[in-house]
Amino acid sequence: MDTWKTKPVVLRGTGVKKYFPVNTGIGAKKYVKAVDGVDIEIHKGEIYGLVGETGCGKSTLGRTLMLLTEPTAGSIEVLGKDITRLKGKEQKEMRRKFQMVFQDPYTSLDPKEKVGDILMEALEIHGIGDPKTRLDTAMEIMHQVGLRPEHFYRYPHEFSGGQRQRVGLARALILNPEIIVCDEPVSALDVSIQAQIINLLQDLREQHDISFLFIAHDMSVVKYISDRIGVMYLGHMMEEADEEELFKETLHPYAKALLSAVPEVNPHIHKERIMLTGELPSPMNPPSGCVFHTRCPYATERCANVVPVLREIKPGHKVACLKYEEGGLSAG
Amino acid sequence: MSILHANEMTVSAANANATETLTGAGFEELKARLAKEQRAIRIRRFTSNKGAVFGLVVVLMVLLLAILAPVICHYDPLALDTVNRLKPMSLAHPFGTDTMGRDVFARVLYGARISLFVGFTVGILSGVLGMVVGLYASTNKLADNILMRICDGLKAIPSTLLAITLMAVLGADIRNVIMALTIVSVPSMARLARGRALVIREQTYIEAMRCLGASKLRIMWKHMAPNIISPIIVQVTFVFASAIISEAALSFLGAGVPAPAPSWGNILNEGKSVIYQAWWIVCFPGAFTALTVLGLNLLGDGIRDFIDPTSEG
Repeated sequence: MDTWKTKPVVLRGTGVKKYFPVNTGIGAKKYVKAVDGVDIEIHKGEIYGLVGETGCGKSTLGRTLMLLTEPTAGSIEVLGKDITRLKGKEQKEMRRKFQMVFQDPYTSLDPKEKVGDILMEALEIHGIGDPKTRLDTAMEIMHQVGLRPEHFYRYPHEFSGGQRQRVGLARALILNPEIIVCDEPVSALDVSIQAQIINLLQDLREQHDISFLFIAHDMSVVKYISDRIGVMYLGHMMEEADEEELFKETLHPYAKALLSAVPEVNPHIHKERIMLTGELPSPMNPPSGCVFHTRCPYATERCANVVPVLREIKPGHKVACLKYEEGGLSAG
Repeated sequence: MSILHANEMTVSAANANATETLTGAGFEELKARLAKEQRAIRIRRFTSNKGAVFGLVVVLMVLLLAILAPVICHYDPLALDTVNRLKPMSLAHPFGTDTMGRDVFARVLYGARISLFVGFTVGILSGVLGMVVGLYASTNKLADNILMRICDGLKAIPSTLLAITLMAVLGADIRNVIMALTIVSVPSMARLARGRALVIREQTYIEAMRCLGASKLRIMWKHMAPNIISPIIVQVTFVFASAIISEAALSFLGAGVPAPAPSWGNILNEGKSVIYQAWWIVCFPGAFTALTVLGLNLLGDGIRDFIDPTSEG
């Protein structure tokens, strides 16, 4: 297993930052630091789960990686090619390689377009094939995502949420991309439908060797689907490890608190929940040093002054915490 | 909706795992059947709106009367017959005659041609222009500021006064009537289009199109335009109706369609001085105007239901 480890990197973000300007009315312009210097690497055929609480910047990171908003700083490489500075035709060419599935299947499909047209339009935009072969390709993709041929001439509102998400997935797949960013693709769906879509994603990964960046706030879903998981907090990557490793040996205090919130199926296992105190600080005015130090049970004075970097503690296990740095706090 | 589900069942039973088997003729057949089904749904939605059906019937009847005017009525709307001035309704003159002995029925029918033509042209022109202006304004900040300030300026002046002023400058002529009324009605149309476009622009499916690499033009015309068109079409029917009234008002004030040619407005204008002796001159074109406007408004409502696939009707 874990064959992806030896495979090449498909998507690499280096020091990705996204600040949104805020009009305060008077005085200097302020910025919401939604994503503040994140490094991320996704290998071919890998499913990378990105978790974090609401407002931690995980969706913004996903959208920035897809060039839906321009990154404030940093570079994004797809297949080794920097896509951040690409314009016009070159950018359009590269867009075939990275696609996105959106959170809300009810608003992500044009209500005035039939499903078949939605799919064929993707091909039309990129000038792939003629109308006849486009139709065949669209039919083939619909079959792959579990839609029936007669759905071709139906409007999105005639479908259920799960079926719409299949259409959204088909639209992302039809251009044969290398990587698909799924921004909370199942959080708007029923639990039974969630399982179907997640299994579909795994099947597609196996058939096409596509990489996925799976953004979610539901830890159990992420645990089930991901090969590797990254934990974000206030625009920073806090910890990153293989799925098994992360759940077995969580290092970062924030990740520990987050994982302890996953409900346990077995009622006899009594898990201790770590309750965090305080509120999520405003990303407009993030804390100095380690952004988590205001809520961290282990925080020291040093944490308020020194910004921890994401360092590899063990092979494949990275963490951004002073506790694990040499000369830092004693590990415990 | 029950018909829909029943269909789905039979189809899925017929081709249980169907994609491979479904080619050529089979697909064409499916396509034709589903297209027919969609049409049936739309027609059912439209016909379930009784007001819309009434509106359609009224508008079609007025249209038919206008087109078939020479067949229905043998009088020339311009022919003077001074012996028979201000004659009340009779078999020879169903709507009576006016101050110069012209047949009012003929004048109303021929006047319908001009009134409907003006209304239709103004409605379509301002709809198209308003949509172009609104769409561009919603996608470009600079264009937005310039275009919307112009619209604000135009809207600040009462529309009838503005139309009268324009007519005074341009001169009384049917083409100028259309131009003046279009200029007057574009701003509100543009505002409406822009408002809708600003909402649509933020929808996820527009972002999804960007993600696919769609060009700005494609997004604007293929995805934003169809989604803002419903309120625009309703507004077009309102403008159509109000253009008929405005044209009547302009003609009534003598600034509209020039004298001998009949339009509902200038028939009213000529009739007003003799309203106590010959009420029919004012009454019939007035009734036609009111009925047509009512029909158009009801029809507009129905067209929106017909166009929007998501409306339940």
